[in-house]
Amino acid sequence: MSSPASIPAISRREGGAGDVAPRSGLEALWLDTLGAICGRGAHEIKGALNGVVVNVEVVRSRSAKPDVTAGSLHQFAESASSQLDAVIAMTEALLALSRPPRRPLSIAETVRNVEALVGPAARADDKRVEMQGVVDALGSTSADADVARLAIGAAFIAAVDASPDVVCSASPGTDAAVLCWECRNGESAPAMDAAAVALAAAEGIDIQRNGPRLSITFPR
Amino acid sequence: MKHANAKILIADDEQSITAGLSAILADEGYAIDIAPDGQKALERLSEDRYGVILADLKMPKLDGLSLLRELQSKQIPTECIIITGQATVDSAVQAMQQGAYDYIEKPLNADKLNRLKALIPKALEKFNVQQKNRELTSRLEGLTHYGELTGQSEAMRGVYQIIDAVAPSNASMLILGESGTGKELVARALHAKSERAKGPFFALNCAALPKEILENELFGHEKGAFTGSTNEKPGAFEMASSGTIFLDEVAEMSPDIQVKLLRALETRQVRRLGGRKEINVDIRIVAATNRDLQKALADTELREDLYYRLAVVEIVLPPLRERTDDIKLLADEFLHRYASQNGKQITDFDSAAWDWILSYHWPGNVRELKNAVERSVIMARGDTITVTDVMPRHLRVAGEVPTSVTIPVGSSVNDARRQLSLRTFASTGGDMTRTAKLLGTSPEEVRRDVMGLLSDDGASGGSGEEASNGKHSVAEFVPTARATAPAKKPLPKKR
Repeated sequence: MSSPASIPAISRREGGAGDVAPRSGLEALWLDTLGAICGRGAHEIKGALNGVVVNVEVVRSRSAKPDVTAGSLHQFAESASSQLDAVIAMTEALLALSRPPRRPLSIAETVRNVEALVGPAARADDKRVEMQGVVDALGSTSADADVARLAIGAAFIAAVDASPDVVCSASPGTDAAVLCWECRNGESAPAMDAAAVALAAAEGIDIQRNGPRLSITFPR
Repeated sequence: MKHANAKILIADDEQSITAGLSAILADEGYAIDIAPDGQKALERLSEDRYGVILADLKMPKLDGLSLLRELQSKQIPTECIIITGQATVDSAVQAMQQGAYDYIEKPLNADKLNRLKALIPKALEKFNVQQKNRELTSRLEGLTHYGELTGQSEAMRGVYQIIDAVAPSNASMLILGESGTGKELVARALHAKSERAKGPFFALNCAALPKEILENELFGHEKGAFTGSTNEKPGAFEMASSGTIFLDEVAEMSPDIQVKLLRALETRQVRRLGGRKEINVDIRIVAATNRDLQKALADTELREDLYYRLAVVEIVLPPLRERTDDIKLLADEFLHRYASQNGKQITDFDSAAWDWILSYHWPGNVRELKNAVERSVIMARGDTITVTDVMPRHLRVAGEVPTSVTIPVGSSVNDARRQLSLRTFASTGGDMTRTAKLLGTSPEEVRRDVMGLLSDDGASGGSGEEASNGKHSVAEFVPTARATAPAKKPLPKKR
């Protein structure tokens, strides 16, 4: 399925002298969303790397001392190692979202990648982001991959920003797959960018707000 | 290490950093605590003393800058080193302008950690210097407290100076003073300030114990020393060895115990009752009496040689009536202590209660004041203590009422006149005619003044049942014995 041509090529970055070529509306929206996801992920990556540096320094300084026991180093080596694992996982998610999407788009993989970057940052801000249901079972969608990815990323960011307690649930079906975010602290579901909603609708992706629930129904 | 065991608090929500940083600083000999957010850090700092806090700028609940502001507004002493990412260096500089000791940038690599390791001893040095300054300042500022003693009057400062001078020595001390002036507290302060502070402090009241028991308490006994002594028992001299013994009401001690005490003071040895062995003791004696010592010596109730042994240094504790500067301080302190102990929200005495407290001559001294305030806190029904609450019933019956009026500068002439009318009315036992005569006015005017003032007082927050309708009863201000008849005898003179 091709990208919709009906959306005007309005760029949020145009207007400045020496500016790069105007981007399509879809591209601009995705870059905005990706920027928000990356910003949060980068903060967590930096935090984990800072931890790695400190833990490596503990190992380095202690191992230089006489009478050092392996036991006094193990905990810090383990900690540095697990932080590096976290950094790798976040970097992989970042890379996956930065590349052109595979077609058909895997809803499950996209949700996991966004969560890997947005979730830890939200939790560091004392927020709760819970994943419910079997996200893997969501499978893929026949809708345009760029638009579907934009819908998932923008909805995730909007929900986490709207509430300190968000549950993301998955309802796989034969004809459609439904992804839903519920704000559990009394907030109403957030409104998404109208252009993103319009792009999604044109691709048969239905975005609904109902009380605290924001749901996206993807066609198979 | 110069600052070994100094306490450091790490406030950061990133556990991966706090665990490593904590290990590195613990290796340097510091005692480390961790707070996962700014709010927890503030709680820890309020409860315990940390020379240095390492605070991340970005933390949940209370960020580094807000934490710094809270530390300053609550005057919590510590030195704050801000840990920051490169993106927030501007905020770190702002933090330094607000009083942070320094900042250090993440990532905390070897260079940064070495810089941090060099910064911490300097920050601790600054903390320690400021801590000493704070202690010195609070010591000099008014010097309201000394050990458990409270008082900032000239007389009490003299007492503190003597204790300061004598405490390091081993000299015996004799404390003279009326009952309730705090003689035991002076002895305790002397003990606490001395090098014997880690040793025991033993207090014995020589008048409260029968002669045989006092002797047994002081010198102990061997097994079988007397009927029923089935076990040996060390006396106070042995048990308080390397410490201090306080002998209250020493002039009441029987002559033969005085001899034994004198010998113990001279030889630094004691022998238990029924014992043959001399036991070496390392003791400091502090004695006290409220007796007229010249008379006790003249009547040979106190041995002169013992007196000279005990009175190497003599402290005369002033009665409370001679330290009027301290009455308010003490009353305030007792009020807050007993209000807290009794779970009452009492904040102050009302002006009439203050008048009475400041003008009463307190024959029972600090003890009497303490008891009066404790009783008044228990009896009070409102958030302030009235004169009825604080004045003991026997005094109300006997008619001891303030004989002076305190009128704050800035009071209106009308208020001054009303206060004078009320106090004169009270002093006459509620005799309108006599009050009018004394004041050179008419009974009607006195009535108007008195009733007007009582109404005003009640409306402005009087407590208790009498005040519940907005008026005080005259009985609150007028001694019950005089409510029906004018006083015949002169009122006690204000001292």
